[in-house]
Amino acid sequence: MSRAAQPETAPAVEAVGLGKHYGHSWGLQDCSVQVPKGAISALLGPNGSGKTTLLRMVAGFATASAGSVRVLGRAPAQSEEFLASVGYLAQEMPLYRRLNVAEHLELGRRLNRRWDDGAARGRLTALRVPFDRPVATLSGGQRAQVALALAVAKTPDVLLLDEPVAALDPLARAEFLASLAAAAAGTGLTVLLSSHLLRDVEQVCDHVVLLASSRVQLCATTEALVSCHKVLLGPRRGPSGCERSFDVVRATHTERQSRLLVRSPGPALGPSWEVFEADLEEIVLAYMGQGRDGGAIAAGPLSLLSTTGGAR
Amino acid sequence: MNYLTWRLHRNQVVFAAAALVALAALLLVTGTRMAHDYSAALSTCAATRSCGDLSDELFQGDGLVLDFVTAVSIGGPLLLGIFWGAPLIAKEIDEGTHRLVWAQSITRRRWMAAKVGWVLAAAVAWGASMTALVTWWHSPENALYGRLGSGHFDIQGVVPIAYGLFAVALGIVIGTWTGRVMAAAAGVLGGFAAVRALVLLYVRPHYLAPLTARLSLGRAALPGNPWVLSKTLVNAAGHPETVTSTFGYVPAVCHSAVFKGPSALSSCLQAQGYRWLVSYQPASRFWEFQAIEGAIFVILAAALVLLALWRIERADA
Amino acid sequence: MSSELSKNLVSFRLSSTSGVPAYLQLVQQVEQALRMGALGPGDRLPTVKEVVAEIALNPNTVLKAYRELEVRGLVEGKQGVGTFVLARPSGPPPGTQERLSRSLQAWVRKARHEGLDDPAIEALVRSALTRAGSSAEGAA
Repeated sequence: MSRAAQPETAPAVEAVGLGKHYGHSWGLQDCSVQVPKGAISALLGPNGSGKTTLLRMVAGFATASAGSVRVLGRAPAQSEEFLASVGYLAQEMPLYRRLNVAEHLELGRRLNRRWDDGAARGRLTALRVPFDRPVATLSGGQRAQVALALAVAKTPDVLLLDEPVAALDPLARAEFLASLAAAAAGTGLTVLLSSHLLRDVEQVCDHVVLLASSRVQLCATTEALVSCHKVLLGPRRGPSGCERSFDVVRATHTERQSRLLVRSPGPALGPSWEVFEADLEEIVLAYMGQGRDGGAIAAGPLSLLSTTGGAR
Repeated sequence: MNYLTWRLHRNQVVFAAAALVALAALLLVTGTRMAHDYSAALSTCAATRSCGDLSDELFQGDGLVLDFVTAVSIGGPLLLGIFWGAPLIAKEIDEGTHRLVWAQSITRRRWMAAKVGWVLAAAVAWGASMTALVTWWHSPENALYGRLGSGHFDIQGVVPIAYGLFAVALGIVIGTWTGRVMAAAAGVLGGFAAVRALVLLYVRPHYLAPLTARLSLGRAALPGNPWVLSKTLVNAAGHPETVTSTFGYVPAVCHSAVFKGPSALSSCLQAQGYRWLVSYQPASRFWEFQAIEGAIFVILAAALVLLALWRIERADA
Repeated sequence: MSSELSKNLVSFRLSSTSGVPAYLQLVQQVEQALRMGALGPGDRLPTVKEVVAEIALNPNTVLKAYRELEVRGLVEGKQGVGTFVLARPSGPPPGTQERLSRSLQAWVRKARHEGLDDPAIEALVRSALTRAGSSAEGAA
């Protein structure tokens, strides 16, 4: 029943040095990342950081210019086996505007060997999505639910969603994420969903992958992230001081005070320092800023995958 | 895939079928009357031995119908290319729905095979029905004018089917490359017209080596309505005369005949050994020409389809 | 959606601003339902799927909350059947809550009468809780 990532199991998605260039510029460069099996992972990053490019390559919708990617040990390919194992929901949530929901379910049933019609119908019925109207007449939230229901009914092993909630209003967003969480519950489905806002997806995710400047800055479970980062508040000092004794992810200084977001602080702290729990969003924002500054701060990219077993 | 293909394109099929039914009604009504008129005229002229002039008399009032049927027959493949070929892939890419289908457990090759296979089959069915009707409808005209000339050759036999396949394939491949329905439709319009014109003007005359004949300068014509490619004036030695000025080539003995009128001039030249050298394709080569031209367009269509498939299998989406 | 879930005995809601981890909020809400009598021994808790389908939460968070409730001896997970309430949380007998709530309401009315606004009252309560020490912590 436990969906926790175990250190000894192979990752669901593994990219090594993955890169993609468009013309002369890189859409994604030197991306190495592991997405644990059975987890709901958030792929975070500012706009243009390569989230879409990464997802497209994982789904086999785009070919890599450099490096490699494996999904459940398989390289993306135009084979029925690979296509059946991976679900991909593009950002614009493509649907045939003139076809109704029932017709979409029918086409899904006919184009997939594995197909869970009951689950899709049940969820859409519960949400009161009309089955007999062209999808063009449905609301944005309903269309998103239809697109998700199709991707889930395919019963993939890995489900990739590109900014699924960015265009939805708060209610539709909550309903969409609820459908997603319900689909993942107890099935072992691996989910990787991108978002430029952690706040949007924080509740449903138990793992975070942060892309910034087209590189992976962070890859860890949310629990591990929160437990191994602390905020330190203390007197302003020179760069010597305690900043050396642990990795400082972000430092902000006022005239008299320093506020440090640090990684794994040891117990040896001067009495003049106060220690606070770090908020997940603050941690993510700090690493995102680090990517933008070109990694000027001491702490390098962080991968905590191997610690997830302990964190549970 | 068959379900999805039918569901997406059934409106186009219904519309094309309705157009075919309307055309069939028009052709059956006018064709039956024309065939009747023709056989009646044949028995009349046989009695008076004036059958040579039939072509000047028959079907004078049918110019509008003839032009219309010719236009529809020539334009039909173009319409297939614009309304069936161009949107087939381009509309999916334009509206992003290819990302929905490609996310299902169906390979792009199978997706293309189903879509392209069905549209080509429909194009063959439509073209075959149309050309069968027109070939029957046109038989009196064929008897009068032959069927190798342009405007006759192009609307009957098997070539209209091949044109349709080519136009549809052209729409598919441009749509695949541009992902825009309008661009693909414009490409079909320009590309199809250009290729057809090039083949008609520069390729078709050379399918088989043309025959030549020397004809006297009177009103003599080749029997059996052949396709005349060129007609040159040659002198007694067999050298072609280039007409540079009115008198340039006329030998001195015939100078006075110039002023007596064209028929006097031609009988003078005839007496001096001048002849028409005619280069032509005999009407009996109709089916050979149909086969060659049909094959050309089918091969072009196949190449375009393979190109589109190659592109789809490699495209980033 | 609400009608779909009305068959469940408890309905969860989450506050993202409280600072309390989500799993702990679920634990507290189940305990509260037990104390108030909305849930009793033998009742079945909603499945993980039912919970996340309502409040968009990571399934692991719900599992963690249920495990915590098991550790506290309040519920029992039966493989393939569901999670069932075993006992009410230890603590004062039912009725204590209500009695204390009445006196607290009286106190709040008094504080308002003295001119304190709600944020001020909340701050006062929070500081009282802190100053009373950590002995109350964990004694749910």
